[in-house]
Amino acid sequence: MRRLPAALVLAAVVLTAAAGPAAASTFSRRPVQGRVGVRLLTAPVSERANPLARLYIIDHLAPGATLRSKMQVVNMSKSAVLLNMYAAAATIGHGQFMFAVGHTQNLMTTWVHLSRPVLRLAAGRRADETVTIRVPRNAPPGEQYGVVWASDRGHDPAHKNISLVNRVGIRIYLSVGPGNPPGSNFTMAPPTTSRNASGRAQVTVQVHNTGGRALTLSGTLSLTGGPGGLRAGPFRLTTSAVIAPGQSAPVTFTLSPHIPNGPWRTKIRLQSGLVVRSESATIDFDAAALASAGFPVAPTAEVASLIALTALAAFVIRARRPQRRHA
Amino acid sequence: MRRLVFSLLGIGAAAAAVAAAIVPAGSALAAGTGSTTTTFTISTGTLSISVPATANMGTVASGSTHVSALLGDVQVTDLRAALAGSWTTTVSSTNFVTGTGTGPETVPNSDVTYDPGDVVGSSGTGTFTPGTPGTLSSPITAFSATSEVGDTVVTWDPQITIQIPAGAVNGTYTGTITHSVA
Repeated sequence: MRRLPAALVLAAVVLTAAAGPAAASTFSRRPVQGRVGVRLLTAPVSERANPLARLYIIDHLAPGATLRSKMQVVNMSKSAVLLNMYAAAATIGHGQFMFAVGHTQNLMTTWVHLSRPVLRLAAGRRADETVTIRVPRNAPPGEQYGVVWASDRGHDPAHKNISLVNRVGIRIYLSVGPGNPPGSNFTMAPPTTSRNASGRAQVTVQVHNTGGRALTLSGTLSLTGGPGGLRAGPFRLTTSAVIAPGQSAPVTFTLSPHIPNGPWRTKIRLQSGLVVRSESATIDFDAAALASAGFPVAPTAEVASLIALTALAAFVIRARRPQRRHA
Repeated sequence: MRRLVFSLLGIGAAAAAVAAAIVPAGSALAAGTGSTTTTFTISTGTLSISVPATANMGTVASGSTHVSALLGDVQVTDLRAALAGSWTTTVSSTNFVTGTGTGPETVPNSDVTYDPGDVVGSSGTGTFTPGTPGTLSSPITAFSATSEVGDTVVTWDPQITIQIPAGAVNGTYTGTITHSVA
């Protein structure tokens, strides 16, 4: 048997690796100009255990207190940039953290002070910026949201007719109130299943934020005890899920179209910062099979009453059955 | 005897100083008096976005109903190396104006449609989801990343379509499209 040349064998190995899922890389088609980046440099010691505090400015302050946070702005492009630095408002709704347009302010962003409104950075240079948030003594309790932006000024459209501005920022989640911060908590409704237009199996859980801080959810879903003893996962959450206190939003896991209908035993684990909740359930991705087996795909009043009527009928028929044996 | 007392006082003062340094932030000492919260240092990479500096939609004959072009690669690089990171990129637009920007010299941003298309290139682990195509009368989501594990790079090439109002006059219309990522 002829041995393959070493180079050919190596090429085969490389090709196989590149065809793998998820971690494979593909490169952008043409080089892009201008890149401005930001990162958070410090976080409050009280939030040290919260992984989200390394991404966002998160804190709980009493009225009259001050938070000083350091961030860094980096110019990774080949030419100097002139950046507008400012804080602007944000809101949370429909499971998303939504940035306000332009320089729109809310009450909290008026408490934010940056050392300079305009920052000039030469190519490849970086600069530190201190974000100071002074909470006034008459500040209302509760959590407010915003973003500290580094915005690349528009370019001269003399020869091109669309100016492209890009801004990159760090989110602010600021909770105000005396004493200790309100706790974080949430509830998970029983999961519902579906298949989307491409045939991908989907599991959706309605989450209700019952705590006092915004949630940024991540999580996993595992399937066990499936057809033929199959198990699958854990799969990561595929929707973004930012939920403000008192709000509800659905989170969805979108799986492969090759996942069989089931039934499956599923365990779903959701996490925001340090708060973890999980639930287990029996699910099926075939709605018709699920309904006939007595498992509601999505609990509805009609299904519940049908099951109740069926149970009642069974009871009545049993009670009326004549005695077969005589004494 | 005096030396002993002095030493004891010295130890007491040192102990008090140490105790003050390890009082956690958020307690009565740290808050409510206008003092600063104690912080720790983070070492991660940056979240950055790159977009072509400008783009040209081209020329269309008057009487055309719309003009459409690809904007060029928009790339978000997330080097914050989080265990469960996420980012959202939204896009907004000004009106497009020519001349002095009167009624017939304006194409409102509600006539501008943004379609991110699918991911053009990516690297790293995460779920990268294009936003739903829509008009830019108010900001829409261009792309979002969730459940990132470690560093990621995502590139997309959005298509901009501008419906040309029937009464629009000739001229070069200029406007600004803003991508925001946080």
